[in-house]
Amino acid sequence: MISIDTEALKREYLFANSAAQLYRHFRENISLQNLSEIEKLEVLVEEYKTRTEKNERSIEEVVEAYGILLAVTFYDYEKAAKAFKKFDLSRLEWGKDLEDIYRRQARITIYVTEQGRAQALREIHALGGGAVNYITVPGTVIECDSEQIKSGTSNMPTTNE
Amino acid sequence: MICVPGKPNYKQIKIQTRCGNDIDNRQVLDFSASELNSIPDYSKDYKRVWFRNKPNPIYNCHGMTFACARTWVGPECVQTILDDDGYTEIEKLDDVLPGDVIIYYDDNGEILHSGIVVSKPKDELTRFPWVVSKWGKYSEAYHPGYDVPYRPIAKVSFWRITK
Repeated sequence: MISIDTEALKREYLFANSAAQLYRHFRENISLQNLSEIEKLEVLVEEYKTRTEKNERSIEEVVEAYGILLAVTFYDYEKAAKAFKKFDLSRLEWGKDLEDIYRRQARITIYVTEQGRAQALREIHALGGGAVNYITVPGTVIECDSEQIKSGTSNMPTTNE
Repeated sequence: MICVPGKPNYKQIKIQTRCGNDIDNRQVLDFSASELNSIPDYSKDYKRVWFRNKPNPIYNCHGMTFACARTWVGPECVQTILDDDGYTEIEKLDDVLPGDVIIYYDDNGEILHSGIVVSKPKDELTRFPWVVSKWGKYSEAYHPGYDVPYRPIAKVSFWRITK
Protein backbone atom coordinates (compact mmCIF):
# COMPACT_ATOMS: atom_id res chain seq x y z
CA MET A 1 0.00 0.00 0.00
CA ILE A 2 1.60 3.25 -1.10
CA SER A 3 1.23 6.50 0.80
CA ILE A 4 0.05 9.57 -1.12
CA ASP A 5 -1.40 12.83 0.15
CA THR A 6 -4.56 12.28 -1.87
CA GLU A 7 -6.63 15.11 -0.38
CA ALA A 8 -4.10 17.81 -1.20
CA LEU A 9 -3.53 16.41 -4.66
CA LYS A 10 -7.25 16.15 -5.31
CA ARG A 11 -7.58 19.90 -4.94
CA GLU A 12 -4.63 20.49 -7.29
CA TYR A 13 -6.19 18.11 -9.80
CA LEU A 14 -9.65 19.66 -9.71
CA PHE A 15 -8.37 23.24 -9.95
CA ALA A 16 -5.70 22.61 -12.61
CA ASN A 17 -6.36 24.44 -15.85
CA SER A 18 -3.75 22.54 -17.82
CA ALA A 19 -1.53 19.49 -17.70
CA ALA A 20 1.44 21.81 -17.10
CA GLN A 21 -0.19 23.17 -13.95
CA LEU A 22 -0.92 19.69 -12.71
CA TYR A 23 2.69 18.69 -13.39
CA ARG A 24 4.14 21.65 -11.55
CA HIS A 25 1.98 21.42 -8.45
CA PHE A 26 2.11 17.65 -8.13
CA ARG A 27 5.89 17.78 -8.30
CA GLU A 28 5.84 20.16 -5.34
CA ASN A 29 3.98 17.61 -3.24
CA ILE A 30 6.25 16.07 -0.63
CA SER A 31 4.36 12.78 -0.49
CA LEU A 32 5.22 12.11 -4.13
CA GLN A 33 8.87 12.97 -3.58
CA ASN A 34 8.86 10.58 -0.61
CA LEU A 35 7.15 7.91 -2.67
CA SER A 36 9.97 7.97 -5.18
CA GLU A 37 12.49 7.48 -2.38
CA ILE A 38 10.63 4.61 -0.71
CA GLU A 39 9.12 2.56 -3.50
CA LYS A 40 10.59 0.59 -6.35
CA LEU A 41 9.48 1.55 -9.83
CA GLU A 42 7.97 -1.89 -10.40
CA VAL A 43 5.67 -1.32 -7.42
CA LEU A 44 4.52 2.02 -8.82
CA VAL A 45 3.81 0.49 -12.21
CA GLU A 46 1.58 -2.11 -10.55
CA GLU A 47 -0.14 0.46 -8.33
CA TYR A 48 -0.87 2.61 -11.39
CA LYS A 49 -2.37 -0.36 -13.18
CA THR A 50 -4.58 -1.18 -10.20
CA ARG A 51 -5.98 2.36 -10.16
CA THR A 52 -6.54 2.78 -13.88
CA GLU A 53 -7.68 -0.60 -15.16
CA LYS A 54 -11.24 -0.22 -13.90
CA ASN A 55 -13.85 1.39 -16.15
CA GLU A 56 -15.43 3.32 -13.26
CA ARG A 57 -12.90 5.14 -11.13
CA SER A 58 -13.20 7.46 -8.19
CA ILE A 59 -11.53 10.86 -8.18
CA GLU A 60 -9.14 9.47 -5.57
CA GLU A 61 -8.03 6.70 -7.89
CA VAL A 62 -7.52 9.14 -10.76
CA VAL A 63 -5.57 11.54 -8.54
CA GLU A 64 -3.38 8.76 -7.17
CA ALA A 65 -2.70 7.48 -10.67
CA TYR A 66 -1.50 10.94 -11.66
CA GLY A 67 0.50 11.09 -8.44
CA ILE A 68 2.25 7.84 -9.31
CA LEU A 69 3.20 9.20 -12.73
CA LEU A 70 4.64 12.31 -11.15
CA ALA A 71 6.50 10.29 -8.52
CA VAL A 72 8.24 8.49 -11.35
CA THR A 73 9.66 11.79 -12.59
CA PHE A 74 11.84 11.96 -9.46
CA TYR A 75 13.76 8.83 -10.43
CA ASP A 76 16.90 8.82 -12.51
CA TYR A 77 15.98 9.89 -16.04
CA GLU A 78 16.85 6.65 -17.77
CA LYS A 79 14.89 4.53 -15.29
CA ALA A 80 11.93 6.90 -15.42
CA ALA A 81 11.88 7.01 -19.21
CA LYS A 82 11.81 3.20 -19.32
CA ALA A 83 9.09 3.07 -16.67
CA PHE A 84 6.88 5.46 -18.62
CA LYS A 85 6.74 2.91 -21.43
CA LYS A 86 5.13 0.44 -19.02
CA PHE A 87 2.20 2.73 -18.16
CA ASP A 88 -0.95 2.78 -20.25
CA LEU A 89 -1.06 6.56 -20.40
CA SER A 90 -4.22 6.59 -22.48
CA ARG A 91 -6.17 5.67 -19.33
CA LEU A 92 -5.75 9.24 -18.06
CA GLU A 93 -6.79 12.45 -19.78
CA TRP A 94 -3.39 14.07 -19.26
CA GLY A 95 -1.25 10.94 -19.11
CA LYS A 96 0.56 11.50 -22.40
CA ASP A 97 0.76 15.24 -21.79
CA LEU A 98 2.60 14.65 -18.52
CA GLU A 99 5.08 12.32 -20.16
CA ASP A 100 5.69 14.92 -22.88
CA ILE A 101 6.26 17.64 -20.28
CA TYR A 102 8.65 15.39 -18.39
CA ARG A 103 10.68 14.59 -21.47
CA ARG A 104 10.81 18.24 -22.46
CA GLN A 105 11.93 19.36 -19.03
CA ALA A 106 14.48 16.60 -18.83
CA ARG A 107 16.29 18.07 -21.78
CA ILE A 108 19.67 19.11 -20.58
CA THR A 109 21.15 22.45 -21.37
CA ILE A 110 24.85 22.58 -20.88
CA TYR A 111 27.46 25.18 -21.39
CA VAL A 112 30.64 23.32 -22.06
CA THR A 113 34.03 24.65 -21.25
CA GLU A 114 37.13 24.26 -23.37
CA GLN A 115 37.53 20.73 -22.00
CA GLY A 116 34.73 19.95 -24.39
CA ARG A 117 32.44 17.02 -24.80
CA ALA A 118 34.25 14.45 -22.66
CA GLN A 119 34.15 16.72 -19.65
CA ALA A 120 30.50 17.48 -20.25
CA LEU A 121 29.59 13.83 -20.45
CA ARG A 122 31.39 13.08 -17.20
CA GLU A 123 29.54 15.86 -15.49
CA ILE A 124 26.16 14.81 -16.85
CA HIS A 125 26.63 11.27 -15.60
CA ALA A 126 27.88 12.54 -12.26
CA LEU A 127 24.67 14.51 -11.94
CA GLY A 128 22.62 11.43 -12.70
CA GLY A 129 20.89 12.81 -15.78
CA GLY A 130 17.26 13.86 -15.53
CA ALA A 131 16.09 17.42 -15.27
CA VAL A 132 19.46 19.06 -15.16
CA ASN A 133 20.30 22.61 -15.96
CA TYR A 134 24.04 22.71 -15.69
CA ILE A 135 26.04 25.75 -16.56
CA THR A 136 29.75 26.33 -16.84
CA VAL A 137 30.63 29.54 -18.57
CA PRO A 138 32.11 30.70 -20.83
CA GLY A 139 31.67 28.09 -23.47
CA THR A 140 29.41 26.41 -25.92
CA VAL A 141 25.73 25.72 -25.53
CA ILE A 142 24.74 22.11 -25.87
CA GLU A 143 21.19 20.90 -25.74
CA CYS A 144 20.38 17.23 -25.78
CA ASP A 145 18.74 14.63 -23.59
CA SER A 146 20.21 11.68 -21.74
CA GLU A 147 19.25 9.17 -24.40
CA GLN A 148 21.02 11.18 -27.07
CA ILE A 149 24.08 11.51 -24.89
CA LYS A 150 24.17 7.81 -24.18
CA SER A 151 23.74 6.86 -27.81
CA GLY A 152 26.10 9.56 -29.00
CA THR A 153 23.53 10.94 -31.41
CA SER A 154 23.35 14.43 -29.97
CA ASN A 155 24.47 17.27 -32.16
CA MET A 156 27.04 18.71 -29.81
CA PRO A 157 27.59 21.58 -29.90
CA THR A 158 24.41 23.09 -31.25
CA THR A 159 25.01 26.77 -30.71
CA ASN A 160 27.76 29.03 -29.64
CA GLU A 161 27.36 31.49 -26.87
CA MET B 1 -17.08 9.65 -31.25
CA ILE B 2 -16.03 6.25 -29.93
CA CYS B 3 -16.43 5.79 -26.18
CA VAL B 4 -14.00 3.33 -24.68
CA PRO B 5 -14.88 2.21 -21.14
CA GLY B 6 -12.24 3.29 -18.65
CA LYS B 7 -10.64 5.79 -21.01
CA PRO B 8 -11.35 9.52 -21.00
CA ASN B 9 -13.87 10.50 -23.65
CA TYR B 10 -13.10 13.62 -25.64
CA LYS B 11 -14.89 15.64 -28.25
CA GLN B 12 -13.55 18.63 -30.13
CA ILE B 13 -15.78 21.37 -31.45
CA LYS B 14 -15.12 23.90 -34.17
CA ILE B 15 -13.89 27.18 -32.71
CA GLN B 16 -12.14 29.86 -34.67
CA THR B 17 -10.79 33.28 -33.90
CA ARG B 18 -12.07 36.33 -35.72
CA CYS B 19 -9.25 35.83 -38.24
CA GLY B 20 -10.29 32.25 -38.94
CA ASN B 21 -7.55 30.49 -37.01
CA ASP B 22 -8.73 27.20 -35.50
CA ILE B 23 -8.58 27.00 -31.71
CA ASP B 24 -7.52 23.63 -30.41
CA ASN B 25 -9.98 22.49 -27.76
CA ARG B 26 -11.20 19.45 -25.93
CA GLN B 27 -14.47 18.61 -24.26
CA VAL B 28 -13.99 16.09 -21.52
CA LEU B 29 -17.37 14.50 -21.27
CA ASP B 30 -18.33 14.76 -17.66
CA PHE B 31 -17.21 12.93 -14.58
CA SER B 32 -18.32 9.37 -14.10
CA ALA B 33 -20.98 8.79 -11.44
CA SER B 34 -18.38 7.61 -8.97
CA GLU B 35 -16.16 10.60 -9.71
CA LEU B 36 -19.01 13.05 -9.13
CA ASN B 37 -19.78 11.48 -5.76
CA SER B 38 -16.29 12.00 -4.49
CA ILE B 39 -15.75 15.66 -5.37
CA PRO B 40 -15.32 17.66 -2.17
CA ASP B 41 -17.12 20.89 -1.38
CA TYR B 42 -14.40 23.54 -1.15
CA SER B 43 -16.72 26.47 -0.44
CA LYS B 44 -15.81 26.51 3.27
CA ASP B 45 -12.13 26.93 2.40
CA TYR B 46 -12.68 30.10 0.39
CA LYS B 47 -14.61 32.56 2.53
CA ARG B 48 -14.73 35.33 -0.06
CA VAL B 49 -15.61 33.10 -2.99
CA TRP B 50 -19.03 32.05 -4.26
CA PHE B 51 -19.13 28.95 -6.44
CA ARG B 52 -21.80 29.52 -9.06
CA ASN B 53 -22.42 25.98 -10.28
CA LYS B 54 -21.57 22.34 -9.78
CA PRO B 55 -18.17 20.99 -10.81
CA ASN B 56 -18.07 20.57 -14.55
CA PRO B 57 -15.04 19.25 -16.46
CA ILE B 58 -16.30 20.16 -19.94
CA TYR B 59 -14.74 23.62 -19.88
CA ASN B 60 -11.89 25.37 -18.09
CA CYS B 61 -11.15 29.02 -17.36
CA HIS B 62 -10.01 29.87 -20.88
CA GLY B 63 -12.99 27.98 -22.30
CA MET B 64 -15.27 30.09 -20.13
CA THR B 65 -13.52 33.36 -20.91
CA PHE B 66 -13.05 32.90 -24.65
CA ALA B 67 -15.34 30.08 -25.82
CA CYS B 68 -18.66 30.69 -24.06
CA ALA B 69 -18.07 27.87 -21.54
CA ARG B 70 -18.43 25.26 -24.26
CA THR B 71 -15.09 23.49 -24.15
CA TRP B 72 -11.60 23.23 -22.67
CA VAL B 73 -9.08 25.64 -24.24
CA GLY B 74 -5.37 25.34 -23.48
CA PRO B 75 -3.29 28.30 -22.27
CA GLU B 76 -1.17 28.07 -25.42
CA CYS B 77 -4.17 29.33 -27.44
CA VAL B 78 -4.87 32.42 -25.37
CA GLN B 79 -2.39 34.82 -26.96
CA THR B 80 -3.62 33.87 -30.44
CA ILE B 81 -7.16 34.71 -29.37
CA LEU B 82 -6.11 38.02 -27.84
CA ASP B 83 -4.20 38.96 -31.01
CA ASP B 84 -6.77 37.78 -33.54
CA ASP B 85 -9.85 39.07 -31.76
CA GLY B 86 -8.70 42.65 -31.38
CA TYR B 87 -7.96 42.76 -27.67
CA THR B 88 -5.87 45.59 -26.26
CA GLU B 89 -4.20 45.53 -22.87
CA ILE B 90 -5.54 48.06 -20.39
CA GLU B 91 -2.66 49.92 -18.85
CA LYS B 92 -4.23 51.43 -15.74
CA LEU B 93 -6.13 49.45 -13.15
CA ASP B 94 -8.51 52.36 -12.68
CA ASP B 95 -9.59 52.03 -16.31
CA VAL B 96 -10.71 48.42 -15.90
CA LEU B 97 -14.44 47.84 -16.44
CA PRO B 98 -16.87 44.95 -16.07
CA GLY B 99 -16.61 42.73 -19.13
CA ASP B 100 -12.84 43.06 -19.42
CA VAL B 101 -10.72 39.93 -19.40
CA ILE B 102 -8.16 39.26 -16.67
CA ILE B 103 -5.14 37.06 -17.39
CA TYR B 104 -2.88 35.66 -14.66
CA TYR B 105 0.77 34.82 -15.41
CA ASP B 106 3.33 32.81 -13.48
CA ASP B 107 6.97 33.68 -12.87
CA ASN B 108 7.95 32.26 -16.26
CA GLY B 109 5.42 34.42 -18.07
CA GLU B 110 3.21 31.39 -18.72
CA ILE B 111 -0.53 31.93 -18.60
CA LEU B 112 -1.98 30.36 -15.46
CA HIS B 113 -5.59 31.44 -15.45
CA SER B 114 -8.15 33.79 -16.95
CA GLY B 115 -11.53 35.21 -16.07
CA ILE B 116 -14.04 37.95 -16.73
CA VAL B 117 -14.12 41.13 -14.69
CA VAL B 118 -17.54 41.79 -13.16
CA SER B 119 -16.94 44.96 -11.16
CA LYS B 120 -14.85 48.08 -11.31
CA PRO B 121 -11.76 47.90 -9.09
CA LYS B 122 -13.20 48.53 -5.65
CA ASP B 123 -11.35 46.52 -3.07
CA GLU B 124 -10.05 49.19 -0.69
CA LEU B 125 -6.87 47.34 0.10
CA THR B 126 -5.81 46.00 -3.27
CA ARG B 127 -7.87 48.10 -5.69
CA PHE B 128 -8.67 44.85 -7.48
CA PRO B 129 -11.93 44.15 -9.32
CA TRP B 130 -14.16 41.15 -8.71
CA VAL B 131 -14.00 38.39 -11.26
CA VAL B 132 -15.93 35.36 -12.47
CA SER B 133 -13.65 32.54 -13.53
CA LYS B 134 -13.72 28.79 -13.91
CA TRP B 135 -11.42 26.86 -11.59
CA GLY B 136 -10.18 23.92 -13.64
CA LYS B 137 -12.59 21.00 -13.58
CA TYR B 138 -14.30 22.47 -10.56
CA SER B 139 -16.91 25.26 -10.59
CA GLU B 140 -17.27 28.80 -11.82
CA ALA B 141 -16.28 31.13 -9.02
CA TYR B 142 -17.26 34.71 -8.22
CA HIS B 143 -14.24 36.03 -6.36
CA PRO B 144 -11.98 38.98 -5.63
CA GLY B 145 -9.53 39.17 -8.52
CA TYR B 146 -6.57 38.31 -6.32
CA ASP B 147 -8.27 35.37 -4.61
CA VAL B 148 -7.52 32.39 -6.83
CA PRO B 149 -5.92 29.03 -6.06
CA TYR B 150 -3.21 29.45 -8.67
CA ARG B 151 0.42 30.11 -7.90
CA PRO B 152 2.87 31.61 -8.26
CA ILE B 153 1.08 34.61 -9.73
CA ALA B 154 3.77 37.01 -10.86
CA LYS B 155 1.61 39.31 -12.96
CA VAL B 156 -1.95 40.00 -14.04
CA SER B 157 -3.11 41.90 -17.08
CA PHE B 158 -6.48 43.21 -18.22
CA TRP B 159 -7.75 43.12 -21.80
CA ARG B 160 -10.65 44.56 -23.79
CA ILE B 161 -11.73 44.25 -27.40
CA THR B 162 -11.03 47.66 -28.91
CA LYS B 163 -10.48 46.96 -32.58
